[in-house]
Amino acid sequence: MKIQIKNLSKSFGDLQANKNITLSLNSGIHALLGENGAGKSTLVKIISGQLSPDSGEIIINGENIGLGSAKDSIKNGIGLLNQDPLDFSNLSILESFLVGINENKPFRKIEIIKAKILDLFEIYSIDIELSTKTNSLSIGERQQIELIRLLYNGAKLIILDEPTSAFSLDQKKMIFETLKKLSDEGIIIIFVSHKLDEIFEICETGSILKAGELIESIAKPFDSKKILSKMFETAEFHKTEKKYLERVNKFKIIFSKSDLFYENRTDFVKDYTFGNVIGIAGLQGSSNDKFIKNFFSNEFSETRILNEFGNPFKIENYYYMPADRLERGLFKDLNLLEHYALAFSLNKTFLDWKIIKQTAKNKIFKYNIKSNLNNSLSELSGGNQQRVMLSLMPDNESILLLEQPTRGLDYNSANKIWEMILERKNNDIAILFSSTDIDEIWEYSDIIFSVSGSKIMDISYKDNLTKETIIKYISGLV
Amino acid sequence: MIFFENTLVTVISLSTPLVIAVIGETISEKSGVINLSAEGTIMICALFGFVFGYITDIAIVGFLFAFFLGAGIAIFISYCDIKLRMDQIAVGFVLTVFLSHLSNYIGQDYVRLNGPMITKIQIPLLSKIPFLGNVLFNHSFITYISILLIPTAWFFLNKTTLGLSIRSAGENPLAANSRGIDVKKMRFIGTVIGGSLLGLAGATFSLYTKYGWSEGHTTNYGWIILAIAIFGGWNPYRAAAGAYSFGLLQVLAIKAQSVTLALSQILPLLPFPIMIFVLIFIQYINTKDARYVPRVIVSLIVGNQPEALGKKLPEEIK
Amino acid sequence: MFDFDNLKINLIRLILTLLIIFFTLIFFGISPFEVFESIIYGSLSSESKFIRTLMVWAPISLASLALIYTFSAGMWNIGIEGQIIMGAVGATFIARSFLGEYLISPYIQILFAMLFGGFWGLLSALLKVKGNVHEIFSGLGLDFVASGIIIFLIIGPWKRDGIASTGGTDLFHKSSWVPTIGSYNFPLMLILIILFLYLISYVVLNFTSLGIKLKATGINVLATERFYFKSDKYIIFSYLIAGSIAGIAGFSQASGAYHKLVPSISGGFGFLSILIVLISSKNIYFSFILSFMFSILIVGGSQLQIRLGLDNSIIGIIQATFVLSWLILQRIKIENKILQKISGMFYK
Repeated sequence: MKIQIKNLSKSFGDLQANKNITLSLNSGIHALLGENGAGKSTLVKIISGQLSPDSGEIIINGENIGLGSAKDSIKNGIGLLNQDPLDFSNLSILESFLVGINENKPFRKIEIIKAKILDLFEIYSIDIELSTKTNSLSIGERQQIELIRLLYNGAKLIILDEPTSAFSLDQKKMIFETLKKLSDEGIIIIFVSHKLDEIFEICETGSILKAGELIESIAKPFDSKKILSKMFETAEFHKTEKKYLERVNKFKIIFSKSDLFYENRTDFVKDYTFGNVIGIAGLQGSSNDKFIKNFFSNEFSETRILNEFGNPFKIENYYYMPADRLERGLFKDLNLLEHYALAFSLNKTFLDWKIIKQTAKNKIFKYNIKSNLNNSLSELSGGNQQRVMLSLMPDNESILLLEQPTRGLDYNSANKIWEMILERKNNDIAILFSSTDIDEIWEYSDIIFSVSGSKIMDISYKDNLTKETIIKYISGLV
Repeated sequence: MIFFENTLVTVISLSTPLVIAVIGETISEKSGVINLSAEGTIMICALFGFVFGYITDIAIVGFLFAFFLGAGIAIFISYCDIKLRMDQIAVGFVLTVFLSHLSNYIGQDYVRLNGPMITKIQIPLLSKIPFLGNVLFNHSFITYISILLIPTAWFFLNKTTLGLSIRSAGENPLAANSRGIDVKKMRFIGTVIGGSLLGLAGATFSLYTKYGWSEGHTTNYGWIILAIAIFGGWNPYRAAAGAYSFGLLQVLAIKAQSVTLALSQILPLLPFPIMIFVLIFIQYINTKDARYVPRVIVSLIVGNQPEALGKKLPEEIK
Repeated sequence: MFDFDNLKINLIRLILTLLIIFFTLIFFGISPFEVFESIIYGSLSSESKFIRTLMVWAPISLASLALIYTFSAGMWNIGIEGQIIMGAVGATFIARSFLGEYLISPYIQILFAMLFGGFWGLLSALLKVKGNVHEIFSGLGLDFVASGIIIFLIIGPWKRDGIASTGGTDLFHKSSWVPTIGSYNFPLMLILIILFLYLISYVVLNFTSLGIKLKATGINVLATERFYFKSDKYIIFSYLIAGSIAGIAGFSQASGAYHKLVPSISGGFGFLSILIVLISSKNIYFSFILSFMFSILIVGGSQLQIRLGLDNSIIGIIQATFVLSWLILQRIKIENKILQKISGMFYK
């Protein structure tokens, strides 16, 4: 099978997600690399038929294929493995396999189909009973079976979109072996990932996307330094005034051994003082966000923030801003004024709307929020929603936990947000934030945690690091 | 022994409409839609089943009309659910009130009337078998249908492509969609099959088990069907078992009437607290490790709720 | 200040809905005008009729108010019927006790009605919060259990002397009846309580942190933890309050309308109130007015049998048609197009 992608372009309003992408593949495992927002997922969606491009064509074996229909793409032999398994938890493996299967009247030939599946399972070393319920398997196993299913239905090109984010090492090994075998059988594989260690392990060639364009084609042997520099070209940054303050109050972080990559490490930063900004760096799909949330809700792991006497802080001392603003952080049908009522009347029984209105007006002015008090949150732009979340911070001392504070914001809005965040940086505040943007991590952190997958690879003062080192850590390279 | 045999016959006969209805609701819920109008649908289909049976003096006509009326109501619900993207619970609830009152209104002229009777059909040879012959092969045609529906529904859901597609739509509409399944169509089909069977069950009440029509003729049976469907864990066999259990309780209630007035009023209402207890138990088993509960009981109790049940279609599916 | 656009849309929707009812009645071969006239006559044409309307309005308005709390918190409180019933049971308990003969009885009855009703609501809430049982099923189940309890009481321990009848208990002692004034028996105390509750609820829902937290819980359970309160707690609160208010509705029925306990004490008013709150969208004004409208329908409707030979259930049909039409119209948003056409005509 030979697939040619010619001049694919796609815009969403002002944003040009894909610009004239041209690419040819006829075998092997091909990596698709790029920073967050480089256009990888748009390209994947176009190839798999979930989106139609504005212009351009895809030619498979000399034929121009129809775009924009998932059904057509499947017919043309294109299969997509999503990050979350697109299967059916309550059904058995066999049943899940059968949904949408490329066979006429499958139940009549059920024994033949079962045999075919088991043959494939054997070839790819999968040892699972067909009657097992899907939700009793690990994600790794489910994805493996999904791969086999795509193969069964005649996929000649399989795209994997960040498939290994939730995998354990064993599961990864399993999937990689399967992928190699598939490739040997002639299946073209496009492997979209940030994780350079994995890409180096199984890919033979690759394309680097940046700002919607395909800027570089690479091939084995891979030059990691060059690739990193192409991917993460760092931007000019507007220097914000950093305050150097008397740092007095301290706090501790107790780490659970299972969160650290080097379980026996003793040389990482142990003393944290209020006034520090701690940046948790990680690639998209890593657990950096989860660590931030964990400090608030203590659900994910045993890693904890404690005060200098070893006791936990009260929950009211934390301010947590989730990355999914509307889904987890705000109330989409409440208006702006009501949010301020919620945030600033915590211990009061009665709401004094006059005072709340005044507070709200002040906040709106201070945080430059473009909205009326009676607009519901769903009507605001992403940037404004973020500013609202920031403005809902309590005025008393807090530990700020910010998940991707500038996600989806343009350069200027992002800068403004940081100005507002840093204004809180004084003796009484600790700021922890997660980000997938190395420049942001570099610019604002005093201490940097580097996370790859679900492990903390490194914890160092910024002065002891370089951007390249951080990138290496978060890409899983050691 | 004779007493036991007779009781069994009565239970199977009396549970006929319940079995039909609960299997219909199970299929509907497998596709993701709760038909909260069950109470109203059953009532109005009981009325119209009787009316058309009475007018034509042919029972089958009544059954057929009720079947199609049930389908029609389900089509309306499906329209509100799929096209208008309304809350299926709200629509179902309002429809229940509407259809219940409508039944009473239209039905006024049809109370205390005698319609066509349906007779028991003895299956030759098989009905002569001692005990089993009487219990299984000496019933009306609609009871036979109800019994046959059980394995048919199971087969349909688990061994046919359509059944599997319907189930996939009720489990994970987005995944089904990505595999080329027409999720809207599947949901529609599941809802309509469910509604038709509810309609058929309604006619079974007025033309067979609770003969004739009266005000509020089938009151509360619709609600009980919804409960038994959960009790049945979305499995036709278990659902039927639940229906028969409820029927048994009813038979006991009738017999107990001679004993105490109080008990006979309360027994028919027992299924509900039982159901709540079972639901809590199910949740307990699902959320905790439940090491204390033997595996056998766990596998009997745990039901697989279709993950998309009661939810609106995801916006991504146009 | 006042949302005029919204008002215009609602007005048009109201007209459209009334038109639908109009044509529905015609479809049944009934003259809408005769029906309308009968209803107004039957409910408002004399003082005693008006009082009867008030006695129907009382439980409905209370049940609607109760439901506003639970709907705000995002809960489908189908158990409201059971909460009304248990409230009636609580009131009856006091009415039949030694306290029943004292003038203070109604006030104690209310207290017990609230306790019993609130407890019944609490059960649904706990099942939801701790047992993860969907509130529809726990609500339905508890409705049935409440029906069972009331029947048991009526033909069992509280049965009439000699006859165990499902017709109800003995009449309450006069002191336990809802206090009235004047020759037409105006239930002043009850009305005052309802107005008071509505007023307080207006304050609670709009001017207290409880109110806004309830609202937030109903929108996004996940985000509540970020604002430092537990959604579970507020779900329980909503049910406690709703159950208590529904309990008072039960008191109104038992001691005001029937002066005894009967099996059908809730009269389907709980479900009717669900219909009302579905379209009043938790708006207190709307609920207040709609409750009154529907009460007029019910009381006036009882005349339809006598005057027009129409069965009472036509009223239920009208009510359900009203709500269903309203909900669908709300969805298809046809009012905007009509508004545009009208303004287009004016600005030609």
